[in-house]
Amino acid sequence: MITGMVVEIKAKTCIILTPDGQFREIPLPPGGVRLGEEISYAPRRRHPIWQPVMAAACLLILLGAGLLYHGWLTRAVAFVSMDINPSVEMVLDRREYVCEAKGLNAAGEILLSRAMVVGRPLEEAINTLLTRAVQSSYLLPSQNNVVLTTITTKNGQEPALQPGKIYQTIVESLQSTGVPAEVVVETAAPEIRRQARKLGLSTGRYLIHVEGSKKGLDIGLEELKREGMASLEKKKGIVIGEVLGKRGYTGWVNLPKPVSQPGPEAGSNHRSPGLVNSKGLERVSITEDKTPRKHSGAGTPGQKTGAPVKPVLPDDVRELPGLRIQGDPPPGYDQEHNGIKERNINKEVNKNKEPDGKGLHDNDNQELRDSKDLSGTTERDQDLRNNKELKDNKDRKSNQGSDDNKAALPGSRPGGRM
Amino acid sequence: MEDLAHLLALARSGDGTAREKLLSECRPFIARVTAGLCRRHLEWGFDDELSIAFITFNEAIDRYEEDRKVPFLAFARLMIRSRITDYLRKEARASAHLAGSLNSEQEDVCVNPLESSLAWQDYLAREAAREREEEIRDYTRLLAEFEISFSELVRCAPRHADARQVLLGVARQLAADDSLFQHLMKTKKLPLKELSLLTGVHRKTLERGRKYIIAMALLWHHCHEFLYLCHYLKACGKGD
Repeated sequence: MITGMVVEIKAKTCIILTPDGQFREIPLPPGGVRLGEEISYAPRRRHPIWQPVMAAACLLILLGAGLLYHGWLTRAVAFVSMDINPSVEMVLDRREYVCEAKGLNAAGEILLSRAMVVGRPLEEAINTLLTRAVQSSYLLPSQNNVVLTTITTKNGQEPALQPGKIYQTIVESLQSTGVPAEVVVETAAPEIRRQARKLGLSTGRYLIHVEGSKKGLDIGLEELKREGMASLEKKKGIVIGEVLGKRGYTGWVNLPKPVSQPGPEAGSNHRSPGLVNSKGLERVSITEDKTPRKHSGAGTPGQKTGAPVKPVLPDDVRELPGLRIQGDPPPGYDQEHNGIKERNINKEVNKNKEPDGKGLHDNDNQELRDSKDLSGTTERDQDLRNNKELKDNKDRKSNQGSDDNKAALPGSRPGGRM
Repeated sequence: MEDLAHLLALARSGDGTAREKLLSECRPFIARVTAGLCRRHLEWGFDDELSIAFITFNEAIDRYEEDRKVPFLAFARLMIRSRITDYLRKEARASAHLAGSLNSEQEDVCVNPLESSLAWQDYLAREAAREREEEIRDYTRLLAEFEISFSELVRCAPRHADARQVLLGVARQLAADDSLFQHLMKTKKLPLKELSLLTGVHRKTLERGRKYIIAMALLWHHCHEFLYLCHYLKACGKGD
């Protein structure tokens, strides 16, 4: 609002002189003015309009940016399908949170209805799912369990989530529930997932079909759809980890024969499953009574598979067979080990005779002393006791075991133990 | 101007010396106004017109109403004008028929109440508006001599209150300094260097506000001519 004396009148505007010495040009008032007349003028609602508009625009931009960012964050970038017997698929966003989950069969839907996974981080979701699966008796401590997980990225790029991490999560989760299972984590191309969806299968099951047919196994789609993973293994006499081959992570949890299998990414990833497996071994000592039962029953299909799968994998030297041996090394080696171990313990009591032992068994002794320093003797003894028990199985197996295994042994052993 | 307003307030409240002072200070103004009306040179003590004007001015001090938005001097001038016109008309009539002055006393009685009537109020407002308009035209003409238009002033007058205050202060000082103002009137240019020295304002600032300073200095210097404009700006002037 400005007030001033009109000092000049133009066609459509007039100039006013305000009491504070300003000259302002304002539109001519409707009634017309005389020179020298004092008029008041409320400036056009320029500011009142612009300020809220700008504020609103800023707000909208912020909101839009926020929404876009949120949308970008929560856009589906990866799919993780889990097959136990129930098959579920979880859609992950960029933060590795589950933004959608669906059951791929009836059991899967039931499982999902019991476990709230949407909006949780993947690890938590996996934990919940597995716990629920155990509670709902889909995973039983007494049976042969298989947990097959496949990771598919939406655009087929390298997955942001590490299969190794997921493997770790599953293994830890299973260990905490105390259920032994074969854990397989695979990555699959988006193409595979699409075809699997077309056929109404989970990605993992379809992957079994594809890889199986590559290796000359006849696994029908209907069968895949119908059967649980464990029963499929039993029926077909296959080990899913073997069928799927070398790409992902495979291992047994809570079995005396932990298997770690490095995929394309070796190195540090290779070690972590191994560590988990050694823990798995510890657990076995607690659930010792289960272990032999497990072996006689569920373990056999694993043995059987050795025959059909092996011819298909000619180059596969340090894969499954080698890793299986990790759990039960050849008799000679192990006996020697035990002997040394015992002697070392004795020496520790005596303490002064150590150089002798070192001189006698330089290589093995060295290794043993290293491991002894790192892990407690009691733990070690437990391991050894387990090994002794396994010797029975191993003796039977040694008929089948190949010579390659021995070659692979020294390399894989420290990894398994450390 | 400020002194005048102060004296006026004192005089109105009954201060005799203030009234005396105000009257003596305004004698040149009264003489100028009356001379303008009579269109001849007048001298104190010889001409009745001046006496009438002086008495009217004294009356104006009491009758002035501030809320009418007419400056006091303009109000006094209007009163003086109306009285002098009356006087001159009466004189003319008296000289025309010497014998017919029977009603003169009656007329006098008639005129006086007119001044307090609504007609007088109306006359005052109309005259004030006319004078104001006249004043602005004069001012526009004066600015045109310096090649300044109001449109230019709109453009170059400082928008910021502080900057405007600085330039107004400069203009005031320039208007008060006779030699500098004469220099301005002669050359139609601001004596930038001298003014900068006098006011302590940077030359660049003066240069930027050149037209505004000139316009305002002209206004302040001719304050008695631009009564209405000066009075209007007084609110701002008082702030200094």
